[in-house]
Amino acid sequence: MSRIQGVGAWLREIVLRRRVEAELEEELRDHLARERERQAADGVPSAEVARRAAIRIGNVEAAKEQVRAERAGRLLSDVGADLRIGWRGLRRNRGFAAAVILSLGLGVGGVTAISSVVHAVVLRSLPYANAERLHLLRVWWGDFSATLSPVDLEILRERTAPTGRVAAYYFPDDGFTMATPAGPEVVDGAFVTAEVPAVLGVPLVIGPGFSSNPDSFEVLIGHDLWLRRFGGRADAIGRTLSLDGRDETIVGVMPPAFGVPGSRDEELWVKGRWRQPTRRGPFYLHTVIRLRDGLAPAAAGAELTGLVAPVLQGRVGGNPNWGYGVRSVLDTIVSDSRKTLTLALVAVALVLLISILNVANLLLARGTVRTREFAVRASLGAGRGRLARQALTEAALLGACGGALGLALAASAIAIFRDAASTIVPRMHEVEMDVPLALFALAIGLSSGMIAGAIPLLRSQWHGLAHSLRDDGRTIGGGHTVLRRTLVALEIAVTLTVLTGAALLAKTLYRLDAADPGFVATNRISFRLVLPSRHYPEARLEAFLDDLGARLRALPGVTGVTMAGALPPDKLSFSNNYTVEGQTNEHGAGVAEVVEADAAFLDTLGIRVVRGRAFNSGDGPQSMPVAIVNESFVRRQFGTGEAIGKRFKNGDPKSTSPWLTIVGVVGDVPYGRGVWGGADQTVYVPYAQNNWSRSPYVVVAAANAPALVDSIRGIVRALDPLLPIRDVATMDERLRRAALVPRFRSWLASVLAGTALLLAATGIYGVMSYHVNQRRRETAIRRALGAGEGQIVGSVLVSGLRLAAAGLAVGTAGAIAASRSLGSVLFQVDPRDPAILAGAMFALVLAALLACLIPATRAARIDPAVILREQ
Amino acid sequence: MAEDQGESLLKGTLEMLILQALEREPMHGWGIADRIEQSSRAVFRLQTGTLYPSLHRLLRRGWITAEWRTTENNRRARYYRLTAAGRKRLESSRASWERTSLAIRRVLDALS
Repeated sequence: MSRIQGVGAWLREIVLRRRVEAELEEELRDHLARERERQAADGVPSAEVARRAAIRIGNVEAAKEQVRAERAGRLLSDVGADLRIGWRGLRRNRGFAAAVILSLGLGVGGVTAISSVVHAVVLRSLPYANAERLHLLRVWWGDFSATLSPVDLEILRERTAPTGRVAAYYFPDDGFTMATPAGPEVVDGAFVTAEVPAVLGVPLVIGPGFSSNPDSFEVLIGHDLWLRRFGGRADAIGRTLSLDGRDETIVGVMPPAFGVPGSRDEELWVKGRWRQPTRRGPFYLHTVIRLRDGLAPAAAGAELTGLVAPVLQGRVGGNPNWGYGVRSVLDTIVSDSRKTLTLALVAVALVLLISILNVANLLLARGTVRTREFAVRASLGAGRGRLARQALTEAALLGACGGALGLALAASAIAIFRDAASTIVPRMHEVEMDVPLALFALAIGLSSGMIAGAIPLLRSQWHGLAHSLRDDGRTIGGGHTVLRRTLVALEIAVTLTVLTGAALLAKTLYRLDAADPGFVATNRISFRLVLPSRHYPEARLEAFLDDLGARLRALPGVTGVTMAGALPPDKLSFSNNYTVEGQTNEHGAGVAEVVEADAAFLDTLGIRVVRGRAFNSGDGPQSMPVAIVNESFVRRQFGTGEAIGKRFKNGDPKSTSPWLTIVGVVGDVPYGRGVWGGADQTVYVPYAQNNWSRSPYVVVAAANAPALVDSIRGIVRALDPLLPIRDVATMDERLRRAALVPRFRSWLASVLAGTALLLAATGIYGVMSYHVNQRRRETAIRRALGAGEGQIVGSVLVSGLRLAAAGLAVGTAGAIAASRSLGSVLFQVDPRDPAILAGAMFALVLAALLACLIPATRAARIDPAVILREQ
Repeated sequence: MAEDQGESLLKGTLEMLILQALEREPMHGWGIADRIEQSSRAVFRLQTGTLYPSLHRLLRRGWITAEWRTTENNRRARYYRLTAAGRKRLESSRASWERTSLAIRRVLDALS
């Protein structure tokens, strides 16, 4: 009640300032008048009265000033005083302050660093307006899907405006040859429909954009290209670029870092010119659709199919059993890294939680120690509210320092991560520490500190101030101990969860590294060539590749050279459906990855031939069409039966592709889905009986493979000076890249788990220290009665273990739940693996015991004589 | 403030004296200063620069309230009054003070 009156008075001072000042003025005049009366009444001569009175009551103006100053500066000076007191207190207790600031700094730093990465990668990597309305469109037959064909696009543009706006594009494999003053330059680019910028919702930097004239040659160029070729000048618009021998007019510049979904770092977007479609395929157009507001993606596919299918059947016919499917662009672009980042964010939030609990604990401990200090202050006039404010201010101070430390840690972590992680996390090099993020870090630090500071205050026993002036330390901490032990048990529980997760991820990494890739990766170097059709007609292509192969084989130390359209572990050209001769439709049809390769492929890559043979020179264009399949294919089609001699063909049962005879079976090797996804059914066909690929992968096997790169480049340049070799890497490196993401995750989780363990150990240490201190009289008595040092140490350790056990019991449930949620990021690891959980528990118990060791030895060294004399 | 002897008084203790001065009945500013001066045998003389800031502090804490009264002779003065919380505060302050001063007395006696 009085508080309210007090606040009322304070408000009055502020709101009715003039009235209050006038009142004070009147009051002081009255005061002076009465003083004068008193002087006169005391017999002072009237000439003296005024002077005497003025002296006695002091400087009135100063009084007014003082009242004014107190009102204005009170809040400020109070806070200022609180800060100064808090600061001095922290300086006196450097160890405590350091422990708290470090705890908070670790938690805040982690959260800030991860948040900045998430923000840059997930939120900024899609520079499209309202990206959640954008979806990728694919055609589905059963569980096989492909991009769209020109006839799909044509009818979509005609018929489906109500459902959404459609735009399509595709990437010519060999890029564009751009004529520059320095000679021809090969540039990556895409053919696009005119609506692409509008559908994606990206405004041009300058320029009018594509016109609606279907016959004009127009191109949009990228920001980098604009700066490079045209110096960023506005007169680039209207100039022409010679691309593949055609003059395209530049109609606009796209913003920096722009790319279409599925982008391959293209630098220009040429308005596509489509021929009138005459058949159902081919399926090569990546298509995005911006759905109209309110339409659920699930319904969109059906709606589109319903609108297009009848018209399409009428126009070109073909297999009618197909439908459109939509998939959110957001999902496709960052799905893999999103999982990692979500994981990281959750783990870091847990660590922050642990650090807050730790800090609360430390503050509680300090609170009990300072109760006496607060008692003295209270007797000198500080109120309960004031003391609480002081405690909170100190906590806020610690929080701000922790936030600052966290900011520094995050900044350096980002700097370190930036290069290391840029191969795993898209657009990692754009992650920066910026001002909003810095404020975010400080805000988290501050609020964490204050939350931690508020926890002790909830249980504080300020009304015991009177008896806390007594020297009896025992009664004060009674209630607090339970709270502190609970906090530590919670810390341990959360730490167990983090530890278990980290262990699972580490085991995943181990399994991945140990998995048999199915081929030999050492001493093999690979690269890719892109041979554009305009320079390499069919005949020249084969001759060139033969020549190249011969020259490569002639290099010293080379034991094998091969060319193929696909490369393990994760490069695949295409999949296709197939039909097995004589099988009913149910099993006879399937989808397989197709590898077109030369005869040396299996041998050069060390892929095991399990039955039958590899391709040989006898497999030519005139001889029987042959194929080799992998064990998965055989298992699926023939079970344990014989596959050699059986026949199958590409396409559905009605297709007119030639029947291929299986002449060999090889071991499983991953192509499309990498080592993680494992091998699918795979079909190998010889180049000699099919078309040579225009963009083959070439593998050179040699003992000193990496050293041959320069020689290889020289050979290719000698054959064609304008042909660059791309994507140079040893097969070892390719394999290692497959493990990059799990390696990153595992590393991240380990770092966080280590931090959590450290924090939990600190928490246990704090509680046990206090515990030992509280019990020092009992311990002294026991020692005096003959207990050995070992016994004392033992009992302390047991206490610590009991504390840990409580936390472990609670934490087990959390750890199990967390492990199960990790399912999708584990490889060949059972989330319920008891060994993992047991291992994590063991690590925690060990940490707990170590943390108890110092207090235990301190307890053992208690000198009974000194303690018992304490009063 | 206390001029001649140079006594200084902690803010909290001064506030206690003001509260005490108001225990029996409400009083205006000059009256409070007068009561304290009289009862302390002129040891404590509160000038306006000390008195009024303290009064405002006590107002803000809600330990006293103020109201303007018109007294005899149609004179207006601002009278201060103890609140219930103020009485409690006075009580606990006195108790603290008793203990502290007793302890000081003992030390001075024992170690002199």
